[in-house]
Amino acid sequence: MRGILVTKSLTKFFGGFKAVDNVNLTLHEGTVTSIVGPNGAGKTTLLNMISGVVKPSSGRIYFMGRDITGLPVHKIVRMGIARGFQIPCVCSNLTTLDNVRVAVLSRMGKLCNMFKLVDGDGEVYSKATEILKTFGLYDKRDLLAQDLSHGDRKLLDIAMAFALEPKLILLDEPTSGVSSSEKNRIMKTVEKVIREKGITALIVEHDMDIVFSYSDRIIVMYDGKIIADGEPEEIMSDRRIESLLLGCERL
Amino acid sequence: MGFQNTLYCKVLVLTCILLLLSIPLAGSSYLNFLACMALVYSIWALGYNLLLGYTGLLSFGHGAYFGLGAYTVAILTTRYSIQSLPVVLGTAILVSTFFGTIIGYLCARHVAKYFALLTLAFSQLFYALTFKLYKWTGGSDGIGVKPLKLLGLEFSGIGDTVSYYYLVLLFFLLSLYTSWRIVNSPFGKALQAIRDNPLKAESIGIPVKRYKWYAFIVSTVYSGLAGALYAPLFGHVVPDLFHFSFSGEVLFATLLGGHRIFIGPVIGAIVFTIARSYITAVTIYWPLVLGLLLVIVALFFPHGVIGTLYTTLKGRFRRL
Repeated sequence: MRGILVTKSLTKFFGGFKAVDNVNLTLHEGTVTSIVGPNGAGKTTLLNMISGVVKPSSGRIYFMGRDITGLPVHKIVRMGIARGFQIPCVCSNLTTLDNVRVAVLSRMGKLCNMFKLVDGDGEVYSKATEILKTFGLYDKRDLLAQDLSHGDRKLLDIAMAFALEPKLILLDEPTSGVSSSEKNRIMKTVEKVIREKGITALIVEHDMDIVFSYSDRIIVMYDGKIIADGEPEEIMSDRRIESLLLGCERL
Repeated sequence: MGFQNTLYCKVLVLTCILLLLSIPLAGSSYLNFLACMALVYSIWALGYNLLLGYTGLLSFGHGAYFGLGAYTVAILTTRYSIQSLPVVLGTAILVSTFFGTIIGYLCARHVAKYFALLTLAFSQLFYALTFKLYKWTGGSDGIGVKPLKLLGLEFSGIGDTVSYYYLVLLFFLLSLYTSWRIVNSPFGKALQAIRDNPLKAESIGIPVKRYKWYAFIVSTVYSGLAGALYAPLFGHVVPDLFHFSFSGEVLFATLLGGHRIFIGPVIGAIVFTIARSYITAVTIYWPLVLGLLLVIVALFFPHGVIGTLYTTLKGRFRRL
């Protein structure tokens, strides 16, 4: 096992506020790692820095041995890091199918074509429908994304990330704002795809049941720092963390 | 797959084309002229809407590329006596696209209001330049345009309006077809993704700034063509083409028809041209009427004429 993603002394200031404080993190290929911690612990900022949305104040990020610090988002995506958002981030006026199709086209490097019709591309269509079926969105393919339920938009957001066939996927609270029955539907689908394709995953999650049942490794963040890091059993048995996590579960 | 593949749709498109083809049969050269004007504006608006409706970028400066196309035709035909239709039109499109490429590069790096202001600023720059470069441009008097020539035929709106109408119609149909292809192409879908959600677009690997730039360039090709066809139609071009209020006309036509519908800008351009022609005939207060119309559209028909019709009939006409 080698580190697919390595961060070195990663730090981010927002004005005088230290959102992420000297984070050294190594993710191993094919593992599912969850980040937990109370609101404001710096979890989303960490994801934002890895995906290139936020530039780190100091420190470096290496992906598969290459320094990706400060690269534009779209370049990082092309290298194999995809991202799901906390608030579902989809293209509301495009159909579910077209949302996924744009991601598939992007992945295949076919986006810049001005003269071919999207509908005429069978390869893109079959890839897109395969993903829609995996995520249970096939029946809703012709609906506009804005007409989907919250849970379905969340799934579509994640489906678009998987359509990019990433090596590493970053998911920011994949189950927030959805009913508990839908939570398991989303996580089961996500886990199935991750395990099947050997994708490395870094997931920010508040729901402890989900964190403990789906992760290989759990990282606890507090005040921008990593304060605990280990297998679910180790974390569960840590008294100090238990009280911290119970605190955040109430939120 | 919705409206666009149905027999109903094909019949409608065919009827519209036949109707457009038969306009000169009425034998009124004023009607031909008006139709030319509407189609020139349509070409302009179709290109403009690739930016506004499909990429979500509001430009206040597309008069500049229209004006560049028109002035190129005027200068080539009058100052250099080059009247060959393909040469003149080709050069006009090249010139406006050239400036569109440079200015688009500078503007596309900025978002929303900064983008709009920059496009406006650049068009005002051209406005000022047309006065300064009066040896070439004729200053505030503008400059005359000679007819275009092809295969021994002369094309201009002053002479035989029928032949000129068919020339404009040909380019209109070409523009309609190409822009329809573009909005349904992978590139077009990428633009729509950017319009709906720039953050998501970037997150699925779309180089957002670069694609906005490309969209800008493509839209200036249409503006240049429209301007180039406009010049021989009037036989005269003036610096007002570069003024931002002229850029406002294409924005208004597009909004009037509906920027969220492919055919919206065309309907808007036609309604706009007809309305202006009839209203200026009865009153000199056309700008006042235009202002009122704009207020009514903005308040009561935010999706434009066709857009409102479309939303009302949504179930049946999805995806027109």
